[in-house]
Amino acid sequence: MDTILERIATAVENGKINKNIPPRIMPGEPGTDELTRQALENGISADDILTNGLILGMERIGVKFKVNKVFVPQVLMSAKAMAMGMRHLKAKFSESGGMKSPGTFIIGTVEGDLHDIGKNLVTMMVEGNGYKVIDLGVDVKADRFVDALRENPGAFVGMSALLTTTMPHMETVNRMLKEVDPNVKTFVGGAPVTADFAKQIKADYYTDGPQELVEILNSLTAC
Amino acid sequence: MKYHKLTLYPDCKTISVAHGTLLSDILSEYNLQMPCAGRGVCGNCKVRVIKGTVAKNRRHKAVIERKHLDDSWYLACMSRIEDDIVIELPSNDMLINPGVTNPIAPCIESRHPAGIAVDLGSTTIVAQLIDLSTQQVIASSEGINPQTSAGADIISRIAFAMKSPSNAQSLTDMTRKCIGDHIYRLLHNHIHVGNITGVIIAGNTAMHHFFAGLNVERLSCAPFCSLTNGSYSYSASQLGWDMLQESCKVELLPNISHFVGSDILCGIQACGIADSDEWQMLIDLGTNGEIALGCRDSIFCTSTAAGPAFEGLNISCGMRASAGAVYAIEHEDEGPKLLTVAGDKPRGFCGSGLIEAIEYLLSSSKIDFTGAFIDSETELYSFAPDVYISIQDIREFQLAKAALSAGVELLLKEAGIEPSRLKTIYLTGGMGYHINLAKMQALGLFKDFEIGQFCKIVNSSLSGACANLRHTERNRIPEILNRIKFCALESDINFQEIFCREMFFSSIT
Repeated sequence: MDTILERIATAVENGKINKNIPPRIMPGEPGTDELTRQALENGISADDILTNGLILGMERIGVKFKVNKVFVPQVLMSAKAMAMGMRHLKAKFSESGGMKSPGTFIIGTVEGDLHDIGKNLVTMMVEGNGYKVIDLGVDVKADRFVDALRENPGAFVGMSALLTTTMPHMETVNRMLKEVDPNVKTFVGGAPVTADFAKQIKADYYTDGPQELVEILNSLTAC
Repeated sequence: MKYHKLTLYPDCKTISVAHGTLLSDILSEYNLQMPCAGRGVCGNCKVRVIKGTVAKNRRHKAVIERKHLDDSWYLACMSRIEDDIVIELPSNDMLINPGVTNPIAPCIESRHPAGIAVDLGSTTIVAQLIDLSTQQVIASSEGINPQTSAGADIISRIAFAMKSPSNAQSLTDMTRKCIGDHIYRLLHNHIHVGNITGVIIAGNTAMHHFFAGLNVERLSCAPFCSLTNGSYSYSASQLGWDMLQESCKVELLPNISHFVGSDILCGIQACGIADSDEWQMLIDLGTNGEIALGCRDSIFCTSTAAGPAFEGLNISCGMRASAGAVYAIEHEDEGPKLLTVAGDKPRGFCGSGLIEAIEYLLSSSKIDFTGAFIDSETELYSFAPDVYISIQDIREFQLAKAALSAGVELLLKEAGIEPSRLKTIYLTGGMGYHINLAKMQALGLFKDFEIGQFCKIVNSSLSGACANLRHTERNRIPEILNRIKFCALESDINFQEIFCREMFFSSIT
């Protein structure tokens, strides 16, 4: 019999919210809703459930997504299952004075670009790995990225662009962010973006998917 | 300056090339297709180096590996010629004969008035010579849109045009020249030039702008808008089409909106949507996935970012529907039986073949309803030597299918119409005519409709352009445009939810 934390991780990985949702996934078995409550009743700490249950599940789905074993909708389902578990943990965290977050990640799709699915996927994965995410939305002007960084000193910043024609805005945003804080770590991504482009505009990291980005964030916050 | 010998196999043609020249710069003159405009992303410009060496950097190696190709393959857009080399062009149809003339009726001596209708598509240009007294097609000419040399997708071409005024001008010039060449081929041997009364051109908004030589910058990013949606009239001599009489009028039809062009307007006319008492729908299974829904009272339309998968592009073994393209697959006891265009050896999949291949994988339990291979070690399935479907191809198809399905669902909701109320759903576009409806629905595409509601139409844009050769039809355009409402569905709050749900082949609930 797997431990309850392992079962929570499996439920997140499979996007199982509760016994009935979604019906075709792990039919009849409990989801993050039931399992998280049960774990709390068993006296497991909210921190432990978060790190060794929910986040572990998100990490696994992230790796599977990276190697094409699962696709966008499954990541969305896992994020929903995680959010359900988080609902039960939040009450505990507010009692104990808030949850520990390894860092803050500001993200947005650059000016002139309305694509948001890729960005939302990154948001879900980064959030699912315990970070605080500030999602500025789509068609985000350079000033708004800068303001968000000023309000959240030390945050990481991610920019997304899906059009060859909006990519150049990343260079402006990146430059303005570095003027505010020369040590800010910036990330760029989106279908037309390449590692060469990131280098050319002096962004710190290019990633071709959410999992790689999370891994970089984890290595940056570990030290 | 040092020069090298570049030999192209199997043609055995040898060219002298300056040291350091990018291979794609040479091959672009041979119609090599580069959907990503040479950014080293799509892998479509792959060639095999048989003799000589070409440097391959890390990024280049990574793309080759991702495309499941062995070391002998190179991307032309990342290969500089620094040695005498012999290269083999890929066996599937990357080099496409740029102009195929397909005479339908033998040469006629008739003195009937005639007109020319042109469908200026992003990928393909088709021109037809029409006998105006009988509406009969006298001749047809078809070929690749030369703009593809600046990228397969429209945004790449817009980015190219925005780089310099001379780039923009070159796109306009090549488009006009290409249509002129088609007209020349149509007229050759067919009809007395003096009888041509007019030329009608239909296309999407970007094609409209490129043909007219308008600034495309505002089509490039949000807030999207077009410089103008109006129609343009030219005399043949203004366009340099001296095969026509100087006074022959050429008309570029008006767009519906910045996202939907006259190709869909023509489709609406060809399907009679504006005259119908009952609700009808037109779906263009192309890169922009336009959808129109309407009846006599009102017409709604939208476009979705389906991507070029339905046209066989951005697919590992994707190709146009030319000789050797797998267009259908039959299930037989010993495995899949591939049906190919012209019965040739299979060389790749066109849009309809892609649907049949994925349906085969699903119904024979090679993949599950989420699109993943059931055997977790598998990353691709080979149907024939060098003809396979990879997991990325399946994902590409899922994105296209989901975008169109979400578009149809949200447009119906916007109009407040139940799927069962539609009298007819016209399918058009690159593969609309060849699509197997049952297999399409088996993959969960347009599954809310009955098979009997569908009607396939070869090229509704061209049919509508032909109709517009008649003054009476053309004069109705302003009034029809007034009734069309464009809906931007991707900003709908439910879009992401529906889009994600529709990526699966069957419902998860």
